[in-house]
Amino acid sequence: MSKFKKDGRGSGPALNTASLPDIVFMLLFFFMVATTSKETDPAVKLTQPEGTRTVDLTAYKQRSEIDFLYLGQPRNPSRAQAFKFGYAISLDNVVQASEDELYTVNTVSRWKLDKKAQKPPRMKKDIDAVITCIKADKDAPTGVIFEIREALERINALTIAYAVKDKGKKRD
Amino acid sequence: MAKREIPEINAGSMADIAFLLLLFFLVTTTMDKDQAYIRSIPKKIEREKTDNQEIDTRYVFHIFANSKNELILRDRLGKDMSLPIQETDSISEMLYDWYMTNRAFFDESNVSSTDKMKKYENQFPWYSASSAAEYKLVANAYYLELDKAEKIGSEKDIQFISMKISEVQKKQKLIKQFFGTSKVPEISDKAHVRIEVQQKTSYELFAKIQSEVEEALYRVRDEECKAKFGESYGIIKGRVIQDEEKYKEDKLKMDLIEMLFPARIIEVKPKN
Repeated sequence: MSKFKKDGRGSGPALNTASLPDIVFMLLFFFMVATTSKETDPAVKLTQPEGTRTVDLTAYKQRSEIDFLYLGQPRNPSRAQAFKFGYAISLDNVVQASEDELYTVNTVSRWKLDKKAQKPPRMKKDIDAVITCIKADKDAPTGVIFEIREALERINALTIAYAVKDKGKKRD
Repeated sequence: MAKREIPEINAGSMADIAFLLLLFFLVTTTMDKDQAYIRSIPKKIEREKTDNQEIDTRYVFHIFANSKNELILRDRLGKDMSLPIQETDSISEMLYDWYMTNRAFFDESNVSSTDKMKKYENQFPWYSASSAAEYKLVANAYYLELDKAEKIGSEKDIQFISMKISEVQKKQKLIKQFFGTSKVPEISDKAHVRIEVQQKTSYELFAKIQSEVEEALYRVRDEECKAKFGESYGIIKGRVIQDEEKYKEDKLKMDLIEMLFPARIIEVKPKN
């Protein structure tokens, strides 16, 4: 009666799924190659502001010509008063106060020099060739950013980058 | 001996294993790229000041953001005005005008007297006509100064003048290569964007100002780049960042565009 009724002559040939893993592996390899994994989660909380016409830092990261520095609120809110304006600097996951006995103005410059010293000789670059990228929370006070700038100026690490989230084109 | 038949291996679960791996990578990776504005901090050279003249307000595009996140800008007539926070998008347009308005009148010998007067109507920077030959003279003058400094033996002067010489020579080379002997509109070397903030100005506003400055710079550079080379400035710059050695041609083009529209941005350390 029904048009779609099977005529009962067996259930057709089995579908060969042997090539399915190949397809999945292909996808897998694509993702493995195309993605870069995040090294660390910063030890401070931050939301980045938005901006247009940004520079993509991937090329600098691949050549390891960039150091990241985070400026945000400490994850534990009760510790916030320990820091100037309630904002802390995170250098390679070590939270630094921005100004009190914990903090010396040299912290940032020492971190920067240590980073340079730790690199294997063939990857060593001039301190000015390595960008220092500041990733700051959108409500962070710029005073702290200028303090960092000053510390960098003292050791001649003269290229700085202000990280933002790219908003795409402004208008066209 | 009877042949033993090898049983077929069931590969059905292979896909499951692969999926598992795939999902792991899908979940653990982040696709967002790091984006930023790259700025350079001016190098400190201690040198005795010879001239301490005030810079004309027309050469400074002044942006001031205070602790309450209010903006004060200088308008086209040189007056300070406050800009409502909703209108921050217009900074890039103001800066664009600041760059481009007087550019057409760069060569005094070529413009009419009415046009000549136009550049006095606003408070925007003036342009001058530069040529390769002129820069050669400038370089020679610096060489004489260098000789003098070497005789006196002041290390700082030598450092400063050598820096100037390499700067001028680079300009001369670029103009010679891309413009030959013709004249080029060049913005006054005093012209700069000055960003002043206070201690508690939020990073969001600071980043917004940087974004607007970058937007205006990109627009003037891109227009020039398209007119001169028929290619977008962003594309050329992207290639140079990728590999400077491989794209030497592009590097020169980028240097030229950046010489015509230099990003002289001064960020003032907040006092309070």
